[in-house]
Amino acid sequence: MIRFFYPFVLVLLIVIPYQLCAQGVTTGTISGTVTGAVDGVSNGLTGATVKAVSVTTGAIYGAIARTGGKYSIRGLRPGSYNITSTYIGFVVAEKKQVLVDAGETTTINFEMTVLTNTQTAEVVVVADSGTFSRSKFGSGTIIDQATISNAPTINRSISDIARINPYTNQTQTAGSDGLQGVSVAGVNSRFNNFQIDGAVANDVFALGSAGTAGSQANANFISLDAIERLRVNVSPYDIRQGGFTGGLVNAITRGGTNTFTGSVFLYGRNQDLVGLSPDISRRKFDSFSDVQFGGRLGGPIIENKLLFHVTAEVRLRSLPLEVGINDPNSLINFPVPTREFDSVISISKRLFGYDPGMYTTYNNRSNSYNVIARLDYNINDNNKLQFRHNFTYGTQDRNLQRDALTYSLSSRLNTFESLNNQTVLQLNSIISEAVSNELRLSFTKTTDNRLLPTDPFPEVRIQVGSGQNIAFGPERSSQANSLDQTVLALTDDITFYLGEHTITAGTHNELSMFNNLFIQDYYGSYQFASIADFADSVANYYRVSYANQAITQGNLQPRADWSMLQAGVYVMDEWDITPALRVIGGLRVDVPIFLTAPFENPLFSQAFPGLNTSATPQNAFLFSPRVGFNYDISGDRTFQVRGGTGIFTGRVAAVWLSNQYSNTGIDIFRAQLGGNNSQSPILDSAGNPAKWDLSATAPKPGDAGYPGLPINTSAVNITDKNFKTPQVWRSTVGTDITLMKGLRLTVEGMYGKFLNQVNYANLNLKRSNATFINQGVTYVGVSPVDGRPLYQGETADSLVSKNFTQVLLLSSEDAGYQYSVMTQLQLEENNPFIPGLSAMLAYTHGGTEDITSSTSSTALSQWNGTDGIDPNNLTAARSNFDVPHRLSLNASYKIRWAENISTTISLFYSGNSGRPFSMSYINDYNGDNAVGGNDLIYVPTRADYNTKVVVVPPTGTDLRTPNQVWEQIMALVEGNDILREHQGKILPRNAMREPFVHQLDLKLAQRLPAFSTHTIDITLDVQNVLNLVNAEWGLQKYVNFQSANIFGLGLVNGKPFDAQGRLRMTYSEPVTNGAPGIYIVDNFYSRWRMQLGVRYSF
Amino acid sequence: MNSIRLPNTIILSIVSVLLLISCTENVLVFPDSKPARVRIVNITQDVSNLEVSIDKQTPLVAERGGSVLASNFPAGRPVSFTFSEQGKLVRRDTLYYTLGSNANLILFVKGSAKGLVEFFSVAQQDTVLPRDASNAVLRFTHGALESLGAQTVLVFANGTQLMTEEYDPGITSSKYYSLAPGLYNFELRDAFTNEVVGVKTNVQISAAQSYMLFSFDLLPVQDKQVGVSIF
Repeated sequence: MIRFFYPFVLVLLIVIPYQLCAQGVTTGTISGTVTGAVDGVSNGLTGATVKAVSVTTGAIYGAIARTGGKYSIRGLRPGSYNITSTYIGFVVAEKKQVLVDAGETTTINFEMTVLTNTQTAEVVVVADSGTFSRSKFGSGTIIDQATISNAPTINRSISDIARINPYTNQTQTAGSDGLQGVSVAGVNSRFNNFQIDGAVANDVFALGSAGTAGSQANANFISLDAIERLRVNVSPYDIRQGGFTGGLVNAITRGGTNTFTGSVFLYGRNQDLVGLSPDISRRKFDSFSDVQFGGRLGGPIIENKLLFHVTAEVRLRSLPLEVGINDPNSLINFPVPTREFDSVISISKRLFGYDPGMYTTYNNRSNSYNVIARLDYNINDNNKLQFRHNFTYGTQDRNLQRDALTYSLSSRLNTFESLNNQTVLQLNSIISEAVSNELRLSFTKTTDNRLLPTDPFPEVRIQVGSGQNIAFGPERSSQANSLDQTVLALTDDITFYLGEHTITAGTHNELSMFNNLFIQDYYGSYQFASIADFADSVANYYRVSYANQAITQGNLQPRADWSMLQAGVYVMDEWDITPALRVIGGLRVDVPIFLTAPFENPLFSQAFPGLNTSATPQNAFLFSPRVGFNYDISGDRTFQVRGGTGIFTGRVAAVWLSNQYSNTGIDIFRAQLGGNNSQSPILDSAGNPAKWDLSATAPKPGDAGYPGLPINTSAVNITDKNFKTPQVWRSTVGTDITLMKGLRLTVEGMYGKFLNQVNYANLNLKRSNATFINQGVTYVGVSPVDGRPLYQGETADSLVSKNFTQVLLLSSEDAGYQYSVMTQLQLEENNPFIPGLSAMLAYTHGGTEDITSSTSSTALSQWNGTDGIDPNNLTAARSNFDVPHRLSLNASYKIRWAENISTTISLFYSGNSGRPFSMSYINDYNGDNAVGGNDLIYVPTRADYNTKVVVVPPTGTDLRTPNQVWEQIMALVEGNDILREHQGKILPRNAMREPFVHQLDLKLAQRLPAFSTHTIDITLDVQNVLNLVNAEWGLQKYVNFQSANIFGLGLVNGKPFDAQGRLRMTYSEPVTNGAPGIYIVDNFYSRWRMQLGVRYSF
Repeated sequence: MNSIRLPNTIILSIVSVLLLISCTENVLVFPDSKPARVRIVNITQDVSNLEVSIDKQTPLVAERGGSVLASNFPAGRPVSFTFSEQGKLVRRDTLYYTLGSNANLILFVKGSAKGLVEFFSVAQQDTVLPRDASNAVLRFTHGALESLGAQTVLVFANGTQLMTEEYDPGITSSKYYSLAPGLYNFELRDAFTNEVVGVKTNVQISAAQSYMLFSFDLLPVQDKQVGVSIF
């Protein structure tokens, strides 16, 4: 590790002395030309002084015009500025209230007049910014403070604001009020880069749903009140912006001003402000509460010199977990009588002395506390220092899984807590007239823990009903699970102004340190085939993980303690070829450097020659060349064409890399006996059903009474030595046109090619050599029905090495693409049609294909969670995040009744295609032993009946004949365009789609005057208004894990084929939420929700 | 002029795009299976009027020793069955059965309200004969489960053994027996003693019809004597 630390120190030593120059992505730029007419001839005034004074903070920024009168002032804090230009012999020129945005260049040209004895100052100014900024090359949106405060939102989250961008799509945690992430350009939110003031604020380990630090505990990392502006960039060709293959979301925080301003607020809702359940019972939540309160205060400590701003926010939430027990009328019904719960509880207490908890309704609680403080120190005209600290603490009840298939008793619950602290220091300096610098240092520390409510006990699952199970005891992944993350980041950009060229060179480096405890089944996990088996202590499936104390030196809970450095350097030239044409070009080189090696496992290297658990990916350089252009066709910035092409290097979820450190197979052993959902008990050495004492420490191989072989086995995760961080090569072309005053049209097209997509394979699987003869044709090792490769299944010889369970290889592959065409109309508030109405209407058509949509964290679930034809050779197919159609409208209308009395009505509408989903078999088709149904279905034809496919005769409560079942299958296949199109073939991944989603949210805000100039705002936010209008509207329907398993297989000896090589199928029309179909109606998001708020501002 | 035209254009555009994209592309809709017809046969020991609600529909009522036929039940997916008498559940659990599309099912309900009321483990698929069939078909189910003197029975029609099989309790004839139209007296005889244990007289058998003859326990259960019914 030490040898790797030197490069980082070296980088620090190189860049720290350059505490110098200008524009980064958190600050803005003013540039232009100072000209003066002498003797009727206009010339650039070289040496003219241009000064920008912040209206709110008094901070002064300045520059001297270079050759030709060109000037640039970089590093300006976003806000409003008064700008003056002075030159000896000329009238002072001034432009007031010039708006500067982060990452944008505002052009201010001064045309100065010669001073005469009687003349007063007169200024001719042309300004441009926003859409028509010369620095706009690719796709992106700036969302200003007014839009943020007007946006309908209940969660007050970044994603509620970022969704305004036409390329985004809000993802949600099904069935709960979980923090929503945002998918950008059809890519998993894990591939976004989320920043605060340009400093990384990602959930680097990437376990949370929203992709932001703290999101694992359902906590917003930053209060909306602390945000001045939000940028959502998709293809910024500015080389400084990186770390994403989805989108870059950058929140610019509020800073203090010379005036004390502040606000206190309270938002709240309860069960009366949430709609009724979307089922026939139309029930109200029993008990629901959500309160958010806080405030902000900013002002001067020393006027014009030292300013502060502090925001604090608290949120306390309690959401009922409503699942009916044997109640056919409830939306989600667990069809098992309560007496079976009582039996389970009674047996557990009697046999093992363990109280498994209750099955009564539970309210999931999640609380969060957030404070963000910022200091701005205007050291002098040339140096501005910013200090920021962000504190977030969140807790959330987790893992009390209750749905139609699993019902957890309260002992399965745990409380997840996440503590986050981030400190950022930023120095913007002007070194000379031609050189400026921006330096940023950040330190982020995140600590996640899971607090178990009971004494140590294994997880227990008991099969009941028809495929249901009752679960209790600490959830298997939470039994030993905690994480410490520390991220040190250093960014430095130095800019040189060389005539028409502005050259920026910089570096961005992240040193990430992880300390992860993750031992699944640390206390063991058991499955029982029935309550009777549970009463007999006869299990059918057992799993346990335990430390190899010889390696861990007696430590029972070894942690993956590792670190890596992602270093990047870049250089960029912004070239103003003509006043109308600006070209940008640059090259960025990033390199990940692994500073820690995982344990070496000699047994593994022996079994898998050429592979080594201690080997980390080579330090491959990742090149990101980019070019972009902006051409002002009209010459007056009312019609511009822009575009570019370039590679964007993203980030890889650290948990995927950490899996290798946690699964070397030498420090932690894993053992399992029996099979998931097996109906056969685990047998002891005498061939009798083994008896288990759940109150004792979970037995492991070699322990007395352990019914398996006394050999240690383990799972291994490794990373390909050629693994590279994901990249995307994006190209964009777009145009912005002012149709008329206040109305702009934007049309963009974008294409992206994915490079280095993550991919997984299980190397411990052995290919099948089984022979099938179907209709006279011999098939060896492949399906006689559709030709897909087969594996050995649960045979004694199914593994390459019996010392290991799974050996999962993480690799990268160039495959997949994305494209989009977007049209956007933007109406400004000062439009002549309906003054006061501002709106953005956009339609985006797009498509995304990937190898895997990377929706999970463990290597095993990443591997078996992607439906495919061959899980070890996945090919690109439609992404889980593909959104072909999205229409969005964000509108706000303000009626001013009098001074400080106004009414604002805002709405947000998003109509988008439903998520795609796959259709896979319930059982294991190809013998890969993957749990969860990852084998895509073969779509049968009528001619296949009894030749390639047979129907397993229904038994028990299924009163149909095989012919009736077959006719049902055919009716389904022939009645659906997609299935019919793929008859005789394997249905591709994500070929089907959930229903179209209409989401309409509304906000009403009434402003009233208060003491002095203070105001009171009373607000009402309504989400899913359509459901308020009609109970059948606004329903959010989804397919669990985007994979519908409706076709079953009749397995004989683990194989789905009969002696004639025919596929043995089963099928029953699925029932979901008590009604025919596969779409689950979301019990939370399908309801209308309201939130009342009051805010006092001063 | 613009102030009027432009918003209209925008609204028209929104509606057009919405109509265009708000389609059911690739959405999986399950076709309605042809509904099933169900006949409930009450051979319980003590439930006089058994109410059976299928898929939460209005209950069918079958008197003890009798049956009730109803149609239009959802097929192809598990549907719920609840048993009650005078509105009071006689079985606490809801049962879920899957009926075949366009099926004709015969479901025997056995047991006691004091114990467990349930279906026979095997449901019978009924048949429909062509309208121009000259004969009828008949099957038999030995639904008297408790009568000790009628453990194994033979079926006679008009004094002649009609069915060659012997029937233990709960067993249904494995095939249909052809029967000419006419008036019949059916007898059940103990297979070992040839004693008549149950009779059904004056049964009019019509052509092109499918019949099920069945036995059931008397209340209280009688040794060597069972009830006989037909539908």
